[in-house]
Amino acid sequence: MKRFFILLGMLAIILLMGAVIYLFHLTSVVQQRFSELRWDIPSKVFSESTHLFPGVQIQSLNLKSKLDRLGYRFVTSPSMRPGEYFIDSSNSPSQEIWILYLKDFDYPTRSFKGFPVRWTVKQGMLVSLEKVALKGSQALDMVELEPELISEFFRGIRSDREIAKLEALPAHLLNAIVVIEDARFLEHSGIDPKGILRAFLTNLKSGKIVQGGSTLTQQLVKNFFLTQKRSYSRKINEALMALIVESKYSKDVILEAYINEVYMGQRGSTSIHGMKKAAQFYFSKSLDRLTLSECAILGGMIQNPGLHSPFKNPKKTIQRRNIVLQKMKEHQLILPAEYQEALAEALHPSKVPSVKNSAPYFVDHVRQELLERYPENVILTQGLRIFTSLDIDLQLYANQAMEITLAALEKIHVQELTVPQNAASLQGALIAVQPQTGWIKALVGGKNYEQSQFNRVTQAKRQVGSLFKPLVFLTAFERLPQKYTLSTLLKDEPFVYEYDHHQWEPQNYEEKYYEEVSLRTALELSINIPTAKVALDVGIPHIAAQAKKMGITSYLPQVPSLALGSAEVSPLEMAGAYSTLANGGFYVPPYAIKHVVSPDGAILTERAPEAKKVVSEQSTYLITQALQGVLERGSGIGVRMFGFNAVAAGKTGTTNDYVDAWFAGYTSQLVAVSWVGFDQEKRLGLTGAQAALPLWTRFMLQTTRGKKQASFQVPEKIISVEIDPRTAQLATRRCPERLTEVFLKGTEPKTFCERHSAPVLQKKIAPEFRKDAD
Amino acid sequence: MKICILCLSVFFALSCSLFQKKLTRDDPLVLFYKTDPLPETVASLKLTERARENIKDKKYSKALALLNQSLEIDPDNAFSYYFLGLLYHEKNEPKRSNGILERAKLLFREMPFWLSACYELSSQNWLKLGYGHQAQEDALKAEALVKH
Repeated sequence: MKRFFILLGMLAIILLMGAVIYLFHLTSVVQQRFSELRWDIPSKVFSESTHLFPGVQIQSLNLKSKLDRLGYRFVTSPSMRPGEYFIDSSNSPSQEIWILYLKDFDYPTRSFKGFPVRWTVKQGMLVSLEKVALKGSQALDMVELEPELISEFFRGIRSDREIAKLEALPAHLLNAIVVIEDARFLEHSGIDPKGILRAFLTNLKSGKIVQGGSTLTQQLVKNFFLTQKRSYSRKINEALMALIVESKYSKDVILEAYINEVYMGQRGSTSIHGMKKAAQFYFSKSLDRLTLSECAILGGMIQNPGLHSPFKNPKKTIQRRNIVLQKMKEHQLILPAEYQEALAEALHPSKVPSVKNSAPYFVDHVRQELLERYPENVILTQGLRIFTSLDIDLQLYANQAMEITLAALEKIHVQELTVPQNAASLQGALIAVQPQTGWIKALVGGKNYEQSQFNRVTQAKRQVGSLFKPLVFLTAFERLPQKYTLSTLLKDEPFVYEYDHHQWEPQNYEEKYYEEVSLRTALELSINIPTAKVALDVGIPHIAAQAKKMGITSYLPQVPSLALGSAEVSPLEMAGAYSTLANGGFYVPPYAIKHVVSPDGAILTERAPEAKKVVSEQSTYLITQALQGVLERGSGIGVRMFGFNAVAAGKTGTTNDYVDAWFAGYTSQLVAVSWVGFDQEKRLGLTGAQAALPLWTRFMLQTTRGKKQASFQVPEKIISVEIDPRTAQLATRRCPERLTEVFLKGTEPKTFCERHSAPVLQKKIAPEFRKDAD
Repeated sequence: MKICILCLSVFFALSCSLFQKKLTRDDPLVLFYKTDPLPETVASLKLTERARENIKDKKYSKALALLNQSLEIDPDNAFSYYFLGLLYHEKNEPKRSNGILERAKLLFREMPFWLSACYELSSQNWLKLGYGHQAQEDALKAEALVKH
C-alpha cells in the first residue's frame, strides 16, 4: 500500500513537471507570436486612375465599364451612398446628368474621403462638374476616379486585410463585436467558465460538438495557433493559451489583434480578414463612416460570415443584425431611438469589385521591376501598394486584338504555317507606351498566360528585320545632312561587300530591283539594297551608337547586316526607340511603376518621367514623314485598308526566312510595337504586313476611337519645297511629276530640274524675255 | 479726323500694353496662352499650379504626384516639364533636371518668358554639374530672351 502511494506520488510529480514544461512551451509560442503582431498582407497592384473635368469626352473614357469594374453600383434613383451612381437622361436625349458617390481611397500622397459629385454631359462632352452638398453644390475643376486593382501578390494563402489600430474603430463597432461574441470580455481572464459549462452540457446532450463557449481571446488563439477542427484536445489547448495570453497582454492588445485577425468572408478565392477590410469590402466605407446598422452587421457576421453575408443572404444578415442591436440595447450601449433608427435602416451592401487580372504579363513585369528594389518576402507579405501606369481600357483592347488576330492568322494562313501543329503555338507580343512620358499603357506578352508565362515583350529577343531601317536613315540625317535628305537618289543595284574575310551580299524582297529610288521610297517600300549602301557609307558603329542612345541595350553586332535588322532586340526596347522618333528626339525610358507606398502611407518609391535629347528634332521629323508615307503608299498600307485613318507613322519588319513579323507605329500620343512568330524560331511564312500589322491596327483603332488626334509638330528649320522626285531637283512647270518634300533648311536642292527645263531654248531667249527658269 | 482716330487708337493700344500688368511665374498659367487652350490643357494646368505651390512648400512627393497626374491628362504640358525640372533641381538632381528642361524648352518655343526661365534653371544646373561655360551660355540665352 505504501509503495502504491509512493508510485502515485511519483507519477503525480512527473505529470506536474510535464504540465509545467508544456505550459512553458505554450507561453513561448504565444509570446513569439504576440511580440511582433504581424500578418502576411498581400501587396496590391493598381492601374492608372481616371480624371474627369469639364471638356472631356465621356465616350472615350468607357465610363460605365470602368465604374462596373470598380464596383460602383448603378441605381435607379439618386443616391447618397458611397459606391453608387445614377444617370438622369429624362430632360433630353443628348443630355445626361450623372450623380456618383465617390468611394474613399488612399492615393499615394493623400487620403481621399469620398463625396457625391454631379456632372452634366451634353452631346458626349462633360460640361459641368460639381460637388453635391446639403447646403448647395460647389463647382469642381476636376474629379479623380480611383485606380483599378489589377492584381495582388500573395505568399501561399490568399488572404487580404488592412491593419487598423483599435482607436480607429468606431465605438459602435467595438461594442457590437464584444456584446455578441463575448459580453463578459472585460471581466474574464481568457476563459469564461459559465460559457464553457453551457457548451459542454449542450454538446453532451447532442452527442457531438455543436456549440462553442469561446471568448474573444480563445477565438483569437484558435485563429493564430490552432486548427478549426472541433475537438476536446484543441479546446483544452485553446483554453490554456487564452489564459496565458490574458496574463501577458492587456485587453486592448488582445482586442486589436482580434479585430485585425477575424475572418470576414470571401472575395473569390481570397479570404477577407479584419474589420477595416470588411468595412471597405461590404460597404465601400472607411471605418469612421460606418452607421450603427452597418456596425451591427459586421459584428453579427463574425459567427458565420458566409451565412450572414449581405451579398448572399440579405434576410439572414438583417435577422442577425437585429439580434446584435437588441443585445446592444439590453446592455445600454445604444439609446432606444438609435436602436429604432438602426432597425429601420435598409441593407445597402456595395457591389463586389472584380479583381480579374487582365494584364498578367504586365503584372509579372511589375514584379520584376519591384524585385530590383525589394526582397521577395517584402513584396509578398508587407502590403505594399503599387501604383502603375497601366490603362485598363487599352490593356483590354490589346488583349482583344491579340486574341482576334492570332485566331484569324491561324485560320486564314494555315497553309503558310508550314508545320500544321505550329498553328497551336503561334505567339504574339504587343506593347503600348506613351512617348512623352515613357509610361507603359498596355502590355501583352503572349497568346495565353496560363499556357506560357514567358513574357515576349520584355524577355524575348528576336531579330528586328526592317524595323531597324529608320535608325539607319536617322543616323544618316544626323551625321551627313547635306548628303542625305528624303529626296536623295540611291542606286538599287546588287553589290557585294567584303569585310574581315567575309562577304555580304544583301538582297531585296523577292529580288526586285528599282535601279534608282529616293531615300523616302527606299524607306516606304523597305528596300534593302539602298538601305545597306547608306548604312555602309554612314558607318555601322555610328548606327549602333545611335541605336544605343535610343534605348537599345541588347548586343548590336558591328556587322553590315545590322542595317537590315540582324540584331536581336526585345519589343520593349523597340518601343523605347520608336518613342524617341515620336517624341522629337527625346529618349524617355519606358517604365511601369509610378509609386510604391507602404501600408502606413510612407512613399517608398516615386518616379516621374525622365528625358534625354539623343537626336535632333529635325531628323526625327524627317523620319516620321517617311514613316507616314509607309502607311499611305508603302509596305504598311494595310493600316489604312483596315480603316485606321488617324495621323500616324509606322514601319513593317520581316526577318530572313520569314521567321519574325514586326510592326512598330505611332501617333503623337501613343507608340505601339507588335510581334508575331513562334517561340521556337520556326518559319512563320508571313511578313510583318501580313501578321504583325493587323495586330497593331486592331489595337490602335480602338485606342483612337472618339479621341481627338493631333498631327506631328513641325519643328523649326524644316521647310517644304516642291521637287521633281526623279531628279531630286527643284520642280519646274515642265516636270511631269512634282512632289512637295520636307527638308532641313539649308539641305534643300538649289538648282532647278535640268531634265525637264529647256536649257537650249533658255540660251536662245534673250535674258530680258526670260520670265522664269523655264 | 481719320488721322486723329488712328492716333488715338495707337495711343490707346500702347498705353494698354504699358499699363498691362506683367505676368509673373506665380500667375495662373492659363494666362500665358494667346488662344484658349484645350480642356485637357486647362485641367492639366490646374494640377501644375498645385504642384507649383507644393514645390514652394518643399512638399516634393505631393508635387511629383501632381505633375504625374498633369502629364497623364496632357503629356504636352510644357509647364509640367518645367516644374518637374525645378523639382529635380531642388532635389539636387541637376542632370535629370536638365534632361527634362530640354523637353520644356522645345514646348516653350512660343513663350519666351518661360523659355528664359528654362535657360535660367538649366544654367544653375550646369553650374552644379561643374560646366561653367555651359552655365554662362544658358544664362546669356535667358537674359536675351527676357530682353526680347
